Formats: sequence, structure tokens, C-alpha cells
Amino acid sequence: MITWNRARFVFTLSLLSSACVLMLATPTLAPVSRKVPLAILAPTLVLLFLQLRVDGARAQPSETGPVEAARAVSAVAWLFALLSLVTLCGLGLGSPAFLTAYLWREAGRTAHVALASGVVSLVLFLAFGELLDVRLYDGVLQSWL
Amino acid sequence: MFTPVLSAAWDAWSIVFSWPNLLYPVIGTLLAMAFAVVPGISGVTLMAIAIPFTIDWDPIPIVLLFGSFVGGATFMGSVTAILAGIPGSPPNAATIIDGHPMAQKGLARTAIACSGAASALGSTFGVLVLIAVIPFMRPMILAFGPPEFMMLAVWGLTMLASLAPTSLLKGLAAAGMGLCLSFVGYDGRTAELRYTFGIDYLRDGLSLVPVFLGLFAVTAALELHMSRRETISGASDTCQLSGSTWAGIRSVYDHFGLFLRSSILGTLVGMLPGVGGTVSSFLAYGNAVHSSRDRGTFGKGDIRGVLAPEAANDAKDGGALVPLLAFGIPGGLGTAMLLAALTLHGISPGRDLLESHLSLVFVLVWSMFLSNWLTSIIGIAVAKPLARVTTIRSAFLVPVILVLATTGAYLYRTRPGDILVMGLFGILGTLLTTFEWPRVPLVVALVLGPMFERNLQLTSRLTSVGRVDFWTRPIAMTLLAFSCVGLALSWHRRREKRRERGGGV
Repeated sequence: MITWNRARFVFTLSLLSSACVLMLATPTLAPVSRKVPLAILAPTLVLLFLQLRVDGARAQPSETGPVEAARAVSAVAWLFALLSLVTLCGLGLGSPAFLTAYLWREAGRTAHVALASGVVSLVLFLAFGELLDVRLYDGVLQSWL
Repeated sequence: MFTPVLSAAWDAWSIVFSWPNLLYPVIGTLLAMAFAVVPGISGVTLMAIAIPFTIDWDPIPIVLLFGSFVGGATFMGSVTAILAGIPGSPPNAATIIDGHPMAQKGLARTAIACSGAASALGSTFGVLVLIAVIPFMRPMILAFGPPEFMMLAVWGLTMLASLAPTSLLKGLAAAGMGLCLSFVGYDGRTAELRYTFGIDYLRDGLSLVPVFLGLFAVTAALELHMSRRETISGASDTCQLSGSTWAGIRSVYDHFGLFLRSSILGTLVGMLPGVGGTVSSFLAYGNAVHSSRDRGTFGKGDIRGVLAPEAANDAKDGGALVPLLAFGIPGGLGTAMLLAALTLHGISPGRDLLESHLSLVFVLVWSMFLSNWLTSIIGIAVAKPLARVTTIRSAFLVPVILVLATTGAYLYRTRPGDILVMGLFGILGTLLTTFEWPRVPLVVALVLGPMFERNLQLTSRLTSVGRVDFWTRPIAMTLLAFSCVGLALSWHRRREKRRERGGGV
């Protein structure tokens, strides 16, 4: 099981890795374009490495995190659900569908109430798009169909 | 020297406050307030929508309407920032840092009232400065060259990085990461693509609106979901909210020195072309923390953290008109759109406008001034019902915040990729706060990065051809000294704190 301080260490390591990836991509740039990024990336890598050492020294396997892991996973899952729904069905359909699902599962509303909220938000989205003459994102499903 | 300026100011005042001219800024303000509630839809969007409808209008109604769009949207963006952690526009992001924690403590009404009072008085300060500097506009702006702009960016970054509550190392590293992210996309000098890894979306770099919505709004929603708090404020009824409108208004008087400093900073930064309101808000916030003795309360709902960015953000409107009117150079996105609207309607900023049509300039100034006051008065008047948002159950608010943020991220540029970026930065923001990394230096570095790089390259080039001697420029040297002293003081304070905790001297 991953402990709190170890998770902190892994997060800093992932930041350091991202900076390393940018550093590796820098030499391929023209000398004028890479001058400033190099001047910033070099000290950033040093700072991240120092932070990693600080976090590494604290990474004892005894402590557990203040945030319940299950709740954190559920938060990310809901965000992923929203992004997936919007990408697939578009803003006009995906957002009300997400709203309905969240109200039903998390807010403890009955399926009818959640569905009614979804329908209201769908009408609001459509009215919003019409009134402002804004074309809302249609989603990839519509382009496939 | 001031007689023609005062005369033009008076003429414009008579024009604005006459019937039916008064209707334009009032309608413009109400429209801007309504639009600003949706994140990503700011005064800029409203102006873009209004341009085709107003193309045949006379100059005065156009200036009245568009001026009020700029002024009206600013305040409402901070209301959503305080209540739900959603910045209405990028400059409102600084208000979230202390404004949203105040709402979580049940003090939303105080925060909104403070924001309203600071906004109205800050804009008044900006307008007064504008009237005072109109005769000296050109030399003031020309005093700022590439070395000064570069050092301004360095000062802003070091100041905010050194404010990181947990560690200076984390603050500086976050600022470094933010700068690295700002390099993504086309290099302005060589048109070469940097760090895009073959992804077309990244060609134009990372857009600030989805990044801000992710780092602040999505993070706030995810944290609310994870915390299992029943409501944002913890109160289920408005009677349990302890904030008061009067306390918020009074805070400007209680911290008048801070208000004055923030307004001066906002006006000065507003005057600098291409810098914009986001920088002024964050700089004012950083200055508020740096200049206070008890900085431990910042980030946890300190009213000074609301007052400073709000005063600076509205004071900058007056300052931003200086380069716009003198040279036709916009200070930010709002003034860029204003410039586009004015030019499309045949009003060209520059010497001719300042010398022959000075009263038209003041019509614009008074319109913005009126809309700033109007939004603040309406905002303060409805602070109590607005604060009720913090008593709505989290389970209802979380999906609404997420949907609004997603809609705002898309509507800003109508690019689906922005939704994904918002989501990724939402997860990054949650991880940053969970592991006690500061978000502010990262965000500010992303804003200041292009300005820093452009001016660093220009400075080095001008130095190499002998046109600029960096070490003999007083403004640049002063900013360099501020940066070094700020970092040294922050390091020293932290060392002293560690010693105290360790039982040392």
C-alpha cells in the first residue's frame, strides 16, 4: 500500500521527470529558441532534485494520508466521466447527462428528480446556445454518426 | 497644463450623466454583470458579440457602452471566485486564494462587500491618476524598456515564489515549472515549435483560461467532493453565516494603507503595455503578504487577500487606458478588444484623440468609472442573497461548478482541446494542493513567462549591440534589488522560524 509521504515523493518525482523530458527535447531546438528555456530548466531541475531529496528523507512507510484514497479516486473518476461524456456526446448532451448521473449517485436524489434536473439543464444549454448564437461542442459521436 | 484636461473631464461628465446617454452604461453594466457569471464569458466576449450590432452607432454611445463592458465584468468575476472558486476571468484568480476560504468560513458576505468596496474605490483611484497623468503620458511609458519589463517579471515571480507557505524551494520550483510551461508553442523570434511533441493543439501554447479554470475551479470542486463537507461554508442555513456586509466595506478603511499601495501598484502595472490585470492582481496579493507582519493567515481566508487584488484589478482599468490612448497599445485583453471596437468605429487612439477629442476620452473614463461603481453597489446590495450559495449542499454544487468550468473552458476559444487541458490542470491542481505545493507561482509564471522571455532576449540583443546598458538603468536596478532582498528576507524568515521550532534562539 502506498503511504502518504511516498505518494508525495512520487509526485515530486513525476514533476522532475516532466522537467527532464523538456530538458531532453531542448537540444533539438535552434540555439536562439533554446537559450531562455535552458536558463530556466537547469535551475528548475536542481530545485526539483533538492525537493525530491527532502521528500525522500521523509518517505517513512508508517504515515497514512489525510485524504481517503477511495474518495480521491471517486473525484477523479467523476471528472473523467464528465470529460468522456462531453468529448463523446458534446456539451449540450454530455453536461446534462453528467449532472443527472452525479445528482442521482452522489446527492441521493431519486432517478426522477435527477432526470428532471438533467432535462432543465439541457433546455438551458440549448437556450444559451440559441440566444448567444454560440455553437456548442457537438462531440465526436455526432461526427461519426 | 491641467485646465484643458479638467474642462474636457467636466464636459464628458455632463455628456455621460445626461438622458438618454446614462442608459448606455447602465445597460452595458447589467449585461456585463449577467455575462460575467459564466466563466470564460467576460466583458471581452460581450464586446465581440456587440461589435456587429453597434457598427452604425455614433461614437459617444459606443464609447459609453464598451467602456461599461470593461468595468462591469470585473467585479462579478470576483463574486464567482469567492463563492465557488471559479474565476470569472484570469485576473479574478488571485481573489480565490483568500476569498474562497472566507466563503468556506461562512464569511462570503464580508468578502463580497470588501471586494465591492475595494473595486469601486480602486477604480476611482485609477481614474484620478489617469486625469493627473494625461499631460505626462508619453515620457512615463517611454521610461519602461525591455530591461525594465524583464525585471518586472522577475520581481513578480520571485515575490510570489517566496510567499509559498510550506517551502521556498517548492515556490521557486513551481515558478520554474510554470515558466517551462509558458515556453510551449511557437517561439516568437524564430517561429520554431517548442515542446509540442507533435501535438497540433499545443502550437499556440497553453491558453490561460482553461489552465486557470482547471487549477482553481476544478480543483475546488474535486476538493469539495473529497472533503465530504455538507456545504461550502459548513453552514446549512443563512442564519449560521457569520459574515457582515459592513465589516467588508469597513475593511478598506481598516487597511487603507494596503488599499492605497495596491491601487498604486494596479494603476502602474495597468499602464505597462501588454502586462494586464492578472499580473497586477497577483503582484498586489504578493505585496499584501510581503508587507504584513502576520502572514500566516493568508491563504486561509484573510480579508487583506481579497482587498489587495480587487483594488489593484479595478485601479488598473484607469492605468490601462494610458498606453491605449497615448499609443494605441492595449494593456490587456479587455483593452485590446476595446481598441478593436473603437478602431472599427473610426476612433483611432493616439495624439489626435488626446489633443482634439479629449472629451471623448473622458466619456470612456467616466463610463468605466460609473460601471465600476454600479457593479459594486449592486454587488454589495445583493451580497446577502449571494452568500446563500455557500449554504447550498456540496453534492449539488460540485456538478454545477464542473459543468460551468467545462462550458467556460470551451466557450473561450471554442476549441475542444481546452476542455481536456482544463481537466488535466484540475488533476494537477488537486495534486499540488494535496501535497502542499503552491499553485500561485506556477500560475503567475505561466502569465509572466512570455513577457520575461521576450524582454530577456531583447535586452541581451540590445546589450550586445551597445544600445542598452542594463546596469545603469535605475528602474531595472531597483526591481532587481527588490527581487534579491525579497528572496533573502523570505529565506531568513523561514530559517528563523525553523530555529524557533527547533528550540534554538
